[in-house]
Amino acid sequence: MARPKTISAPTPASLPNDLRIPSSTPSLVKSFGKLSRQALIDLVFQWLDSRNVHAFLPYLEQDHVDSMGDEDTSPYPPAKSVEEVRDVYYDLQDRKGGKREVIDRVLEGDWRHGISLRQIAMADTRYMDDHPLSLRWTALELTRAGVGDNKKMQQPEDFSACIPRIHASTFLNNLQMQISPLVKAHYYLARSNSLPLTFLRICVTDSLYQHPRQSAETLVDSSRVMFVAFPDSCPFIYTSLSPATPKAGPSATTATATDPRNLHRLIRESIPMALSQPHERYTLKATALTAKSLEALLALRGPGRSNAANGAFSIFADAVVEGSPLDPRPSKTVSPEEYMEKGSSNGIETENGAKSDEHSYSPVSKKRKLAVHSRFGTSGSLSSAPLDRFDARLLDKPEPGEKDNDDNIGDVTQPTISLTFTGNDVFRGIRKLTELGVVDPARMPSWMTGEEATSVVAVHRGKRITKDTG
Amino acid sequence: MAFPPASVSSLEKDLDFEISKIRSEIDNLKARRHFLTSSLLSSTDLQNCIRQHQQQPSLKSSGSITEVSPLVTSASNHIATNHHRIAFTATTFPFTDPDPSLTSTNNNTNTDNNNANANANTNKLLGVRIDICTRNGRYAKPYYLLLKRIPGDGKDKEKRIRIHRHTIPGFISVTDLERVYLPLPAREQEGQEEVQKPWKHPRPRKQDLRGLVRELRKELVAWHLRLDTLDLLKEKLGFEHEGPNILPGGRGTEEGLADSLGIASLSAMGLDARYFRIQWKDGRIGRLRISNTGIVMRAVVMGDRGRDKVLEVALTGGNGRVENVIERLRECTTPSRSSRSLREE
Repeated sequence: MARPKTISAPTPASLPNDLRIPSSTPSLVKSFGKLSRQALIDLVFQWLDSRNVHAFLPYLEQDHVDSMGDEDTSPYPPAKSVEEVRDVYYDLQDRKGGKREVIDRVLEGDWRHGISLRQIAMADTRYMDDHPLSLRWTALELTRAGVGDNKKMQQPEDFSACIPRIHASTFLNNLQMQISPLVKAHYYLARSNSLPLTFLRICVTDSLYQHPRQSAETLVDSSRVMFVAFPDSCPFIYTSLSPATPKAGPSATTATATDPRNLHRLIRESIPMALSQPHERYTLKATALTAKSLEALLALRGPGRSNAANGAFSIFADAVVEGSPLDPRPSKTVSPEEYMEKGSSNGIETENGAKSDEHSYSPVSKKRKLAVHSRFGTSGSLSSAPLDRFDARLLDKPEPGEKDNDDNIGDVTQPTISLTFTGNDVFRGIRKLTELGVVDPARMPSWMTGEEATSVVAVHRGKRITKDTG
Repeated sequence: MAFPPASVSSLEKDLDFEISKIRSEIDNLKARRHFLTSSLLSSTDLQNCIRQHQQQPSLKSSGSITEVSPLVTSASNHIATNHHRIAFTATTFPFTDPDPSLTSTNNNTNTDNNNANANANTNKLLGVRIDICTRNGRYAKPYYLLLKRIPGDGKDKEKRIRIHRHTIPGFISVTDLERVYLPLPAREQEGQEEVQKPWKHPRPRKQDLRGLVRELRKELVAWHLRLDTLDLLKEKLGFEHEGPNILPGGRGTEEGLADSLGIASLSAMGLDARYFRIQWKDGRIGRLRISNTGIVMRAVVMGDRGRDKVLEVALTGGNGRVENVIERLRECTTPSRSSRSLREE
């Protein structure tokens, strides 16, 4: 049911939460269809919750009376009250069936007057929460601008990392102020169900000033959606990457200046500005870490202990080197597994099971096992930060025995070898290869153990080269 | 048999279950034995006894000593380390980086003995371990710093170190600490020209590892104290302290306190627990900023009708300690609430 035609004037405001797009939009079926039946029903209950229902009012009989004139072909008679709608979905929950009937019920029945942008955002976020590997994320570090520059001895009063205290709506207002001259956007903030993260979903459209108005499709187009995740208590943020290959369709129709990649870049640039305050400016720094798994990002660029202790040093992050100072057992006589168990008695049962299997079946000799443990620590066995892709660029000259003095690292003419590892968990895989004897644990360079905690490294003589030292 | 006749498969299942139960019991007993033997070996009495025994001149011949030594010496070393860790809380230990590229920088000339010796230093790391005792008398997982020596140029005899790896939580900025306490000489970054005229540049500041560890430990202890205080307050209010943001469970005698104060929940904002959040049952929400010394620095209480200044003053008033926030709140909510409560304490 289209809203009555009103005069629409362009404003710099963000797209409102209750902007409804017609339920007949085909891509809505697709974006709801990604969710499982149970997730869909949960979502509907969230909409119908007595605290939220005013924002997501379903189509009721009184609306029907108002719009008598339109011929209505919907097979679902409008309900009399919200309770009645709720009961319908309780019935659906108890019954077995496909998700298609729920989607039809939502689109053609109870929300036939349109799905609001907030509802789409909720569905999208829910999907991401259920499928944590559905996007690729890159980690960025927040740093205070201008602090490192002056070499004067300035002693901060406390050494808490630069985590800006933000008030969600102020932050969104600031972000809106940054973005609004360029694009229209819709914002949705949500807390993750399973991880210590807050998601911000931003859906950008091209400027609404332009004519003709865009179709409703663009508001559902997933390439125009960008997620930003704010982990708790650490100076990092994660942004979802734009799809690697922009779809051919939209780029043909829309102007090139507003293709999704540009929109992403624009948002990424405006986030630090929105976080900044007078006398407290922030910038974002790339951290060379990109992964599908948010858990990996949280482990490597998160609030915990394992940010700067990976690979061989993961034994320190997991504190399996030694027990508490009250433990009378000499640390060499206690296995790392035992320390892990004691540290967190919950939730690693499955890993224990896998571990005991390894003990009994694997042909690894004790000596090699020790060597592997000394190189990898606990990473890839007891704890894991699964990277799905790892790129290494070797800057060494391929000729053996050639002694190059290391001043010409940045030389452009130098041939380089690039290695790319892909898989579910690259470093667990390399560890496995080492256990099987494919890789020699004694001579393997340390970047192969995941010690650098990045997904891209440039290596010279077995050491990681960063830009500022090269 | 009171049970219905069991089929073979369920019998097998029962047996399997029993076997696994017995296995786990064996494991438990083994662990307990290990624990007991090592506590026995490391007990002061036994250690003294052995020492006296060894000092007897008639037994100076090495036979009996070597027989007993490996286990006992490792136990005595271990207990000495533990005593140090408990007494000084920040202790050091050596660690060797297993990275092969450090031990053999020149891949092909590894046979050169001198070379190997010269490079052997580079993979030796200095570990610093910080142990923190928490409220329940247990120790938190130790925090580690691994420091690396960086080769100074020939003229500079001073030893310079850098933080190589660490396990400090992300909300404590190790880079800031390093910049302040472990500065590197400026010429590393800026080039070589000042080697000729060192008087033109201020002398590089000295590195201060003790200062770094002191400051770091202070931050970590303050963090753990904040978490402990949160537990304490929850206990006082009668909340279960199992999960965060759990509403009051109907438990025991103290349940009344949270009810009488009308507090619905108390939780920390974020992992670093610098801010506490109090939610009242009537919808008011308060936020406290806790300083590193345990003082409520700021408090804001928002209700439906704007800020509740009386509560804010009560929260930050008195001696400001966060531990007795509840008492101050109680005084404030009793009928005779007045400025009197401010003067007390």
